[in-house]
Amino acid sequence: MDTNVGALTIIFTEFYYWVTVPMMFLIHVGFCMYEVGASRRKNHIHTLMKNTMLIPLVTITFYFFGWWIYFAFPNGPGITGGLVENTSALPWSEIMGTHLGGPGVNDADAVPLGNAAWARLNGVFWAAFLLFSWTAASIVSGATIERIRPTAFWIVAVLVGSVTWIIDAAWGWHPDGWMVTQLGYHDAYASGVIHAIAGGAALGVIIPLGPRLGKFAADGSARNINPHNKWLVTIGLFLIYCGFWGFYVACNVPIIDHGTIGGAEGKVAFTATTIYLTPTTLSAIVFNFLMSLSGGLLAGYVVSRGEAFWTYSCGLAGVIAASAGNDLYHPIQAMLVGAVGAVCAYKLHYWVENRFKLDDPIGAVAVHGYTGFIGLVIAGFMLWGHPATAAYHETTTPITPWGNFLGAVIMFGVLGFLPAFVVSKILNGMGMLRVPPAVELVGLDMSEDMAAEMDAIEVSQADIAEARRLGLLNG
Amino acid sequence: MTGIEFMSTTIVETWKGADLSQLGPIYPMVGSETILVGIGMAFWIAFHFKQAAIEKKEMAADAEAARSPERLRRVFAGEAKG
Repeated sequence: MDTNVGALTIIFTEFYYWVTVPMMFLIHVGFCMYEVGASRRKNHIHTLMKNTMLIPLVTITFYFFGWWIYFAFPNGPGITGGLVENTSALPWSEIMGTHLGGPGVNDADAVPLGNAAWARLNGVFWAAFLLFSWTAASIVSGATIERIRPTAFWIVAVLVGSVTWIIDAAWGWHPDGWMVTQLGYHDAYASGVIHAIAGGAALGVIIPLGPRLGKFAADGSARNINPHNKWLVTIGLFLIYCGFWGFYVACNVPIIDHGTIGGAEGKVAFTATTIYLTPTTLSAIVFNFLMSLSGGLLAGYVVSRGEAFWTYSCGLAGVIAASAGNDLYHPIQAMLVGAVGAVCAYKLHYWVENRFKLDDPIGAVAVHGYTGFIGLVIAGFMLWGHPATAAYHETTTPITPWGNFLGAVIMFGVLGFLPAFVVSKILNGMGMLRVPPAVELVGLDMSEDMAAEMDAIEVSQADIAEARRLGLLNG
Repeated sequence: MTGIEFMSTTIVETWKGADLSQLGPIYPMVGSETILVGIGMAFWIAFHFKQAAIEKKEMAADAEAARSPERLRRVFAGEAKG
């Protein structure tokens, strides 16, 4: 903050990340609308509250330990080194609160970068990552509607939102993460680090959770439990598209002098970079987000025969499929990758549903999980040989098909499916995972509905008594 | 100005002439962070236990309501309408 350019760079970066936070809030609003629209009337409030309450739970746990995990775990630990010391992300650090950047009271210089810069950036950077955490947990929420107990879901939400996804970010979405430096893993806009892991976690929960009552007939054929309000569902998806702009922008570092991170010596070259500190531009986002969305929508409309829910979901799948490489793709490549992702999501959803009798009411596993996985594999081939690591690394690690494939397995399977499956099995064994069948049949909102009925009767009786007192009613 | 000495829960007592480059944390009671984290984590864990107890009661009430055939019929009739 001691030069004009330095101060402007820091303040601009602070403001840049701040703007992404309210934009990404729209993703959560969209998810809530989407889930409530997809649920039946007897489950509305329960569905809404289940998703809403993950916000405070993931927020506070991400403050307590999630943020620290990101900075502490890039080496595994135990894969390429030990825990990385970074006191600024500890919840008791002075820098984890209102701080003007000068010397600390009990901790003179809390961070290696210096208090001046990090005091401005820590909170907005934390919040941007936190909004990704909500998204990851919210993806799982959609797959579990109408039969999971809130108690169980919120434990899973904390697991995914504040532990597993941020471990994967430390490994594969950090300039020094071991998956980046050792495997050449590349996932610029989180096909894997958000979508594959959340889709894998959703699969890990719905297997022990089981299908909704009535979803499958005695002969094993699937029944359609349609959204009660397709309008709400589609507007919810539209809002998720809007929020994705914030998501994409938050995945970049807005301004950095490439000369200071290993670029040409003596040359000042300010640029935006990916989270890996590899150069890209905001134009890349604009081109490729819109083109991959378009590819997904076009393919989705055709493959679903114009069905609204799946057309919108396929738009999302298109973006998710291309996200791993959207910092580099040509826009037409992004469009084609998006189209492939959309068709795969649609086909795989119904194939898995019929083959394995799995009930994923909103297609979360397919749209996020399978598509994220496929997007990573495609990026491994499309970007083969491009440097995965930033300029300051002594050795350049290239992107490879096998590196991204292994990364996809780690994201979807190791950090997504496995922990969520184990925790859900334990919760199921304790009788805490699923609501009782009688409650599921009568609806999860029954106690609220009955209370509302009683209130209405009471008010009605009071009105009748008043009408009699005024002589408007006799008898 | 009035001769009264003011105290502050933060490290700032006046902004007049303040050198921002020398100011760090300005939240109240710097030094209490570890205690605050302990209280915060207890609040978080307590929520899960309290909420689980509330949920248990609600589930029992919902299950009781499901024993009414008339109520079930109303729910299913509503469901059939979409």
